[in-house]
Amino acid sequence: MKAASGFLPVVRRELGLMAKYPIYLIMIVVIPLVCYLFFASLMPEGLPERLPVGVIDGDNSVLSRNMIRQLDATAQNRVAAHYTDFSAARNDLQQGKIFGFVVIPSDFEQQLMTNSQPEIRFYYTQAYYIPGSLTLKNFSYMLSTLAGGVALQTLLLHGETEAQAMSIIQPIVPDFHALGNPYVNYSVYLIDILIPGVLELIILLTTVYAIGTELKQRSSRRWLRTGDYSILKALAGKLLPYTAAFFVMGMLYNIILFRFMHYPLHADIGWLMLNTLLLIFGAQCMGVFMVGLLPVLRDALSFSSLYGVLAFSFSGFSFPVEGMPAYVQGLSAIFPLRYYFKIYQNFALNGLPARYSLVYFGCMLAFVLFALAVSVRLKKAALYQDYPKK
Amino acid sequence: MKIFDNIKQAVKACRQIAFGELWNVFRDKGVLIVFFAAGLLYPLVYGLVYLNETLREVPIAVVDNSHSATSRHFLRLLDATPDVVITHRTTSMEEAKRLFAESKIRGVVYIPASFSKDIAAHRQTHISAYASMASMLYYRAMYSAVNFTALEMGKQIQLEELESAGFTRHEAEIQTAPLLFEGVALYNTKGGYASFLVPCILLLVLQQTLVLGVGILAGTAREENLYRDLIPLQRARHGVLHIVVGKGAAYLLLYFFIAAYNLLLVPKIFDLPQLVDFWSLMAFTLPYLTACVFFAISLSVFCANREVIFLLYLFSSIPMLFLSGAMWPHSQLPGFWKMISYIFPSTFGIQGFLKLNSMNADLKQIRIEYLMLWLQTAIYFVTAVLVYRRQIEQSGKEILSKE
Repeated sequence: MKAASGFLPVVRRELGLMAKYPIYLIMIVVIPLVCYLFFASLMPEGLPERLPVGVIDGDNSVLSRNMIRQLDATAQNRVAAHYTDFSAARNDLQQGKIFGFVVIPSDFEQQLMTNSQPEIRFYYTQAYYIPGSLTLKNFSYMLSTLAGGVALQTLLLHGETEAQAMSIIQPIVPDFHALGNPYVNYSVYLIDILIPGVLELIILLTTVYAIGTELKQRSSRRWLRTGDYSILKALAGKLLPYTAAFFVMGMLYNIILFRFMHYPLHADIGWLMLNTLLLIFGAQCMGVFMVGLLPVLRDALSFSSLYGVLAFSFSGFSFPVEGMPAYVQGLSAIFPLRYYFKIYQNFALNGLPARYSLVYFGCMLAFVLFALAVSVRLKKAALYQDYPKK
Repeated sequence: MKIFDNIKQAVKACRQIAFGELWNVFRDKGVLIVFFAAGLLYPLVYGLVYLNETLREVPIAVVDNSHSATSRHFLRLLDATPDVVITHRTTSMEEAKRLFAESKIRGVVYIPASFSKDIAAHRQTHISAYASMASMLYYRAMYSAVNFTALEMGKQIQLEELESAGFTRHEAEIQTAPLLFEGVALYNTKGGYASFLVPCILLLVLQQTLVLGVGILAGTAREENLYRDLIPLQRARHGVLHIVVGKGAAYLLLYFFIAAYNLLLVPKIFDLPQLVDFWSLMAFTLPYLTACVFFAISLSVFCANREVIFLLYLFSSIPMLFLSGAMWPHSQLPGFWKMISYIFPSTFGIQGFLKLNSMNADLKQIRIEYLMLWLQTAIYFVTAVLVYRRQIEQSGKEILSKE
């Protein structure tokens, strides 16, 4: 009896393979779950809190002690150590024990009372980017409040009303609005992209592995025969079970992020799910492209790894693409995560109507061209199995 | 002398294995891609991607409902900051929103109709700044540009108001700034993104490519049952020891060059921080590489075939960057993940390197990281020996059962 062939038999054959080899369960369920758990529990507060800073209080007056107490009371910083000299403080900064230290001059209170503008210096490190700049921001905000308070006292004594005094102390008040992420939450900003990014990487590798293994194990002819010798039927039947399985995992992270963790979402969650589905599709197409280009499994995997990890940078979420040198910017076009990020920000952060994302939907679907471009080459490789075994 | 002969023989055995392993590396395209293409090209790609260090001239729109000389002055000052550039002037917020939706601008500054009247009447006035949160750097640029401008212009207004309130010029100046404040960045002074991120990536690339490459080699050995060749050696006294030392030495030799390129040359090419002196760097790189090498050999036990290491390990790169404490303060990590982070050489490697290279610390100041790397070297050396003994015993059994 001739074995059944066609699209559905390929699907059935693949489901059998997925059940037989535990690696697929690990790739589809275990590793994504570990990653979800990792990122979801990594930054529970969203912003670093109580970052340690140091103090060199040369004055040791009521005022300077009060200032240090205020600094310690802020949410972002805590005073971890007092120093008597600069080099001891710098030593701890270099060891990463503190992220910055403030130097209060010896006659600080005296100078302030006699209107001789004492100078406070804050030394910090930007080798740790996020904590360094947050600490500086927090400290300068605290100091400007303090300076404002001093000025207010003088002006009230001088006979101004409080409203008049405030208009002198801070004539122009800027109000900042962080669109879509009002609390400037780092966790939202990072994890909304890191989780789909890691999932995309896993999908890329799984796709290359699922196809490449057929070539390596010399079972590719059987695979193709089950698909009626149509490479498109064989590919579609092979990859559809993964699309479905990864989509379940994809829906899961959307539910975790937007339903359980209540991350900002200014659109229907359905759009985000669609975005995830497109990302899966894009990643699978690139996987087919890689293994079609290099039909030797290990070469395809090496190359996919090189390419896959770069997606995090080229998506532009950490450092915007337009800030990269012009000759590098174009490369971002070949990363599905780039378009995922665009669609995500349009829907989740900015709540824009779907028409603004149509072009990115189109780009995602266009990844199929990569797969089609190598389909003939892939079919030949599957049929003749004529590449080097080693 | 018997001891002398023994040492001589041990060295000979290790050297033989080391050369054999080098040969394995160079005849394997997969390993070459990982060791050399990744180890040598990644630093260049990342250096180029983050070449500009900071985001400048972020395009914004302004909605000026004040239409006054005062508001125009404010906008001129704003436009002159390096962080933002006013590319659109719109008459309504609706129009600005449309530009934002079309990604033509990354933020909007709104000046209310009352702006100049408030200032003329000595009332505090509010302006609004809206920034895209797609990247934290947009918000950062908007924040620093608008804050700076509001302070600059505020100072001029303050002086005028104070003088008209009867203060002398000198008194007025002190009133506007009763105390002076200066923030001084001691390290990564230009606040560059590459200066902070790329050194961490350089360290991580060394560890990750080693694990992947050694994993492929171990997988190949298993597939082709190359361990068979090692069985007679293993039966010799200290055989497994020689194997692990020999292979480790081969990887170490290769990675010595790759690390020199990554840590000495690449920072020069891209003008990244490099405050460490040569010998301290060498002294630090040695335990980092040995820890990575034996970590890689230990992990290679999971490589049943050539490819599986990519599937099981590659995803870990991004989590490891976070576990190292370079992105997010290590002290802020939840306890469980902090424990996990101590498993990886990259945690101590990145921390130590940041302090040594980017913050001009000396080896004494990073002694904790330094000792931990040696401790990891020792632990992973032992696990590597155990792993090899088991693998060789197993393949020995397989051969016996076949025969």
